[in-house]
Amino acid sequence: MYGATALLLLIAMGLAMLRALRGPTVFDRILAVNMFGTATVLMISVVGFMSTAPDLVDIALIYALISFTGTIAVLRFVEINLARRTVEPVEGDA
Amino acid sequence: MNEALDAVSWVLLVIGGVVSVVSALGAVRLEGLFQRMHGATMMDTFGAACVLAGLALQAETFFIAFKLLFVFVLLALTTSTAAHALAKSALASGVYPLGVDREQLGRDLSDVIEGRRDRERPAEEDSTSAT
Repeated sequence: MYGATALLLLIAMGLAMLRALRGPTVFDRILAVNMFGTATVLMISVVGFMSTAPDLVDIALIYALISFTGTIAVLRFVEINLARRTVEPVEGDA
Repeated sequence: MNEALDAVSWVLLVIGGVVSVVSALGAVRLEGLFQRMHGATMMDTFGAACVLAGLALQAETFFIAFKLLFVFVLLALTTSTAAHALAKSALASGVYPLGVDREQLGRDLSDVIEGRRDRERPAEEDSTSAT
């Protein structure tokens, strides 16, 4: 049953990757990478239980923190570049 | 009793996986950034809650279940903060929600930023007196 959950999470990660590749704006990509991070945290926990090594939950905890820090860092980077006008502001609804 | 707990945890695990896939589908297929955020949030809250609760029912010791609870609390705190920051910087850089009057939204946002109330809005008073 862990295998089914892991497979479903893998599908979700693949779809998030699709959005990260397709996303018209940089914010779509950041959203997709954030989703991918959440799915990875869940995946690490499930795989830990599947391989009877539940201590992998510690790694999932660390990964959640690192993923959050990465998202905020990239967002600050984009914001600062927008403020300095080194990146063109986004046009259009998408 | 043990079989019942196993069944509950497996149902929770499968529900969590299905919710994750539905949420990722929403993030791929919906139109516009904010709609996609609405889809993606489902995995951060309900999907993570179901998967981690299902795992916690399978945990051998109480300590591991507590760590899973801690992972969920951490995810709830970090993903909501990240979503707030993402929406804020997307709005600030000109991504607007679909079906929203841009000029009205821009006026409302600048009112909020500059701390103006609805009553004291000098630009609109000028335009109404001019017409």
